[in-house]
Amino acid sequence: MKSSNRRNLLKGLSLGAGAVALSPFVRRLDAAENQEPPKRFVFVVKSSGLQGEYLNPEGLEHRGDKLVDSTLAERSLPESLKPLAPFQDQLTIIQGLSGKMTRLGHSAHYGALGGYKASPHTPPLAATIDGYLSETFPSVFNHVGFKMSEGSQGVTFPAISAKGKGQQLPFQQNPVAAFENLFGSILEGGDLKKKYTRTGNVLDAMSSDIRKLQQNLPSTEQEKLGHYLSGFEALRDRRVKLVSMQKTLKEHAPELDDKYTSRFKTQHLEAHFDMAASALVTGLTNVITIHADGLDSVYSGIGIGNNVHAIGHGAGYATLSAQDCRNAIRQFHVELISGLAAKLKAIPEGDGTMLDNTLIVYTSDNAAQHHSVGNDWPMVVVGNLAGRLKSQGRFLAYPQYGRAGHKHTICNWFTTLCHLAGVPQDLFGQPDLALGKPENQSGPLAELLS
Amino acid sequence: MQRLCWAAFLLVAFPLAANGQATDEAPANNQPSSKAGQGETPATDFQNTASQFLGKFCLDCHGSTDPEGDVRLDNLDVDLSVTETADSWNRIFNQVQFGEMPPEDETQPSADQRATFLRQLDHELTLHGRGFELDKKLLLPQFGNHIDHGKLFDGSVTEKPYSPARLWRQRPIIYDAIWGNAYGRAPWYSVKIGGTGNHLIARGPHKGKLMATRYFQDQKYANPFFEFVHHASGFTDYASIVADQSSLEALLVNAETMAQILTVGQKVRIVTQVKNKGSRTGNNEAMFVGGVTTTANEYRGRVPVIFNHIVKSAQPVTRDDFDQALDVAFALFLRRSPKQEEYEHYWRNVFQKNAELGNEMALQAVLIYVTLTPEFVYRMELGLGETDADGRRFLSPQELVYSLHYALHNKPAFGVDEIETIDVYTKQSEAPIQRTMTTPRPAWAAGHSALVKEMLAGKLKTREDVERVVRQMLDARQNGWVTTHNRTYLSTTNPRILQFFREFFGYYKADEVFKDIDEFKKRDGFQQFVQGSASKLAYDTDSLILHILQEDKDVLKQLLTTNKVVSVYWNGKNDEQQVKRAGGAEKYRRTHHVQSYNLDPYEHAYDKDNHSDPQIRKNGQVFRAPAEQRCGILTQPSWLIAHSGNFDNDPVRRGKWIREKLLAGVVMDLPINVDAQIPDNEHQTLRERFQAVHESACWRCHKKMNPLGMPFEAYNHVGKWRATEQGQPVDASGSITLSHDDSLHQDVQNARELMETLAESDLVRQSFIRHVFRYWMGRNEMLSDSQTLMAMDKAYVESGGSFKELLVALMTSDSFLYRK
Repeated sequence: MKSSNRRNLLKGLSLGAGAVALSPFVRRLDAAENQEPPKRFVFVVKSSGLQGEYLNPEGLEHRGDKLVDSTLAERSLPESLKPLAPFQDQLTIIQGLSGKMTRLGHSAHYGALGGYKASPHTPPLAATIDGYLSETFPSVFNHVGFKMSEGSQGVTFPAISAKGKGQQLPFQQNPVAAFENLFGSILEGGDLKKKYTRTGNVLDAMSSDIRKLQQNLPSTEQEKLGHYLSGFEALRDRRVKLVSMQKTLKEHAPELDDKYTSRFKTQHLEAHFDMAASALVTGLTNVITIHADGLDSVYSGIGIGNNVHAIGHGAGYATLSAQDCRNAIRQFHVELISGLAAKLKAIPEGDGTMLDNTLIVYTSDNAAQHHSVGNDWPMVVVGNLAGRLKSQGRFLAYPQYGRAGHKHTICNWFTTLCHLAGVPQDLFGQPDLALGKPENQSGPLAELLS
Repeated sequence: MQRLCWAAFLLVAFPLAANGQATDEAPANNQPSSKAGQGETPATDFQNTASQFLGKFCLDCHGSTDPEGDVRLDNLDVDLSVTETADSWNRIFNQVQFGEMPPEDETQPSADQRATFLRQLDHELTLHGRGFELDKKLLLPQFGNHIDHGKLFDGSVTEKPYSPARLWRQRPIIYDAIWGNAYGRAPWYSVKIGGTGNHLIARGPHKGKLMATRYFQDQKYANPFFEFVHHASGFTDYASIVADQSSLEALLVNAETMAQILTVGQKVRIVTQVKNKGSRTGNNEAMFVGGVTTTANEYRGRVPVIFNHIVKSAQPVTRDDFDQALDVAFALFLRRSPKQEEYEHYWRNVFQKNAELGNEMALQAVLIYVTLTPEFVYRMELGLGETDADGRRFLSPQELVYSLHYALHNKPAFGVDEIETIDVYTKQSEAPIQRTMTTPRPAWAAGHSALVKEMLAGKLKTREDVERVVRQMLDARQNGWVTTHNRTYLSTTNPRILQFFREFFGYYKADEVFKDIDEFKKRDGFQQFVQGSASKLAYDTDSLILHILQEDKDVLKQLLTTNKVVSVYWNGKNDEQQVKRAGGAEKYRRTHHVQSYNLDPYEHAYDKDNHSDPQIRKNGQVFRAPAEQRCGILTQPSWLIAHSGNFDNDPVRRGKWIREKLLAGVVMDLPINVDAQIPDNEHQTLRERFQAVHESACWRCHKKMNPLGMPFEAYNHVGKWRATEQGQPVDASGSITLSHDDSLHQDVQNARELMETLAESDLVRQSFIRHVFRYWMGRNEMLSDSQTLMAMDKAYVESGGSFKELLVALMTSDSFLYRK
């Protein structure tokens, strides 16, 4: 469907019940069409490290003394990135970024996307890049987080994303609950629908109660309560918007099939990717983080019966060595990313497709190894934001940490993302003091900006 | 465009010396474009005040002839709807507000003149949507010092103090105390069969095998009320902080989880691993390889019997049952009984509205509703007690419980009375599983604070009652003065007291300043600073403050001048193993923690555990550093590090701290177009490098900070005292200038001279008292609080510097007890 069709469809809808609530949404699409489409970011974060040596195309190496900068054209992709071959002209492989300003071990937690020291037990020091971008490109849901997990408790706080100091972002583990949250408005009957209705009833009743209470307060305190009230109104508006979008949502929502309740968590991850695609296509959100797994995750759905932690410690499974398991897991993620990219590429937008306005970043919350020190932090990037990211298939390996030419950290990559998003920042996260003064390691990765 | 030619206007209408009121008479004007000048528009109050003010204090330098800095004010527009004009006036506002202008060597406006001018200018700017809304802003933390200090303490204000009736957002740590344990955990349960273990399975397919179990329940939830620290106030809990959509979204997620836990139980993931031939297990679940792993979800926990009854019942719920359930919901979260109209409201508008979704959902709706109510999110301080002749309302006994308890504690004031509960896990299973999955006591169980008992006995109504209970609370026994990571300020008897000093001084942030520790290994004077040192130094300072508070004499003076230092992680012994691990005696000596205080671990060795003095056995030794080396909290390494940069000292921040916290002064924020860099030069001292700011426009602001911060150049940037820098004796001189008290103004040779001068000052004591007031009242002082502040000051001085007496004076004051 062309983007103009999407807009017309929604405009038609806006004549109905949800007219008022929907109009900002249509305006957003209008603006998107007349000026430029929204930028979208997807972060896929795996645990246990993303091993750089399995990301190098044939004939290219990282960990050298000098910058390696090569096009991917005519290059054969490494085995685990093969599923991305259809997007080779929009693929960027970045090697050699360091992240020693984080606190590593098994996970850098908020540090992986925030570039600072963090622990799961203390509130985040600052926004992480996904949280920051989500506040920059608000939508019906500013940020959507999914996490594959052995648990099925629902919402969790894996301590990797924050929208500001002390403000953790939630991740939904349970695909069914995620579906309810995103697409609940199109459900017909069942327990999910009941929960959805229950919460809506509470929000409605509460906002009228707050208004009554406000009348009996001094004016400064009325204002204070006004902030809280506007929170209810925003949530209610969101629900009205979702109702107004029912037709679009029905058209693009994934099918609530067996994957959602499968005993194999890998199928949950597939469901998360399906929902991620739908959420982007329908405009429910512009920023998604998928925490692909945790150390306790078991990939039994793809034939690996050990958990990620055991594999990280060298345990193989059946006939597979530990490295075979790691390769299979990585390849599984890349296939899912490829599937997501394909869905976005199938939808025209502006002069191109939705993929042209989307960046998918694949990385790990623990740099490049199961136990990491942060010398190397690979990023695999699909999409180039309509050429803003200077890459038509590119391999960039910065000089190895500790060599004279190395001053490139994940924070520089995050500032690059800010520049690409049109909200330039010179500093994001903390500097690595061993690399010298903070001002000498600020700014974006110039090679990647058009 | 309206334009006033000030000089001409003033000369005719208001001779510069005149104090007369404005008239409508049109001034002469030589600017053809000026409507005001042409007499078409009568001058407003603002124009009159502004013309007098500028004429008297500005135009001598900023007139038409050779204006200073090329800033001309004689032909300034007054049409504030024009952006450039409004910007000019905003700049004037800032300059006057921050005392930057007029310059110190020129005639100064009186406090009243300054205030009137600012108020009217703000009003005018606000009319055009460009103002500061000064009255409101004065209540924000960053504007705390903008009120006239002299007036607060000179006795001229006789208005009876009160606090505005208000809502106060739930303190994050109290929400955590109510929520974290009971509803914020993500449990899972590891059961291993066939390996080692201490339970022998007696029946079933695994009969005869050993079983080992381990229950994990990490907290995983987002606190809706994230902590907010304003850089200027440093205080974390101000009543002006709001709850907004972010809070609501987190509250909602948490509430839905809670509603499930209280109705059907806490979902627990049980991972059962059965070992078989060829499998191996590690000491944690993640290391289990091979064998058979199964995962199941079960429910655990005690839920109120009445909830269970409602959820299990297939029948419509009776009103009687509902009322009982509402009693429980209120007891759990609002910690009070519902009022009659609330039973009705919840029944009709919440429960019945959701009844068609089934009993479970309807009950969950009620629970969710309760934890989203403004009452749960905001503590209400409305003044529900008696009204006095001045229209002020005394706090009700229940409001008093909250105010007094929250003043000193970080836990809920009210507990939960016993509720009849039932276990949701009813399966027959192996004993260890049965033990873990059932529980004798619900996680929410909590007793009432002592104040609640006073209230219930009717003994918390009057000011005398308040004084009695406050004294009881402050006299409660403190078990020693040492804090460590195992016993933080939160474990002290009245944790909010030490918390005040942490937030006031800000030293607890030492570990947030990143230092290049690897580089320190090679550098003299830095080798004692390793991973974790910053936190330990902060615990040292915590402990030193508690020690000073325990004596409770001349507290502020002690805090600003003591040469006592403590090292709470050292038991006084130099253990051979540790010496060996350090790489020999010399390395051990150089890298020892007490080197942060320039102490030698061999010279200061003692035996804490076997010391004859029971105080030392309990708390450790209090050392006396040479007087020139340590002088109060500002010379504690923790404070110096918290106010330092990554690679250098930060005399600017240190000076700013003294200016704002001790001298009740203000410093303008860094203008956004200024790149605050000082030149790098490894052959120069920091003081020399800072010389750059003396020469330029920077000095206008920096003169308020740098001279106060420079005496701390006697320390390196991890807080170790040094006699030399760059091979030369350290120049630690500085000066006190530009404060509200001329008698303080002098040059000082070092930190001790600086701190001793400040410690003797009335202004510094009063500035400290204002901060005490702010922290405990959760708001800035207003002029009407003058009587309270003076009473606090008097109580402190007359008691010989007792912090307890200062708090008693505050907590029994009208500001604390009355709302209006």
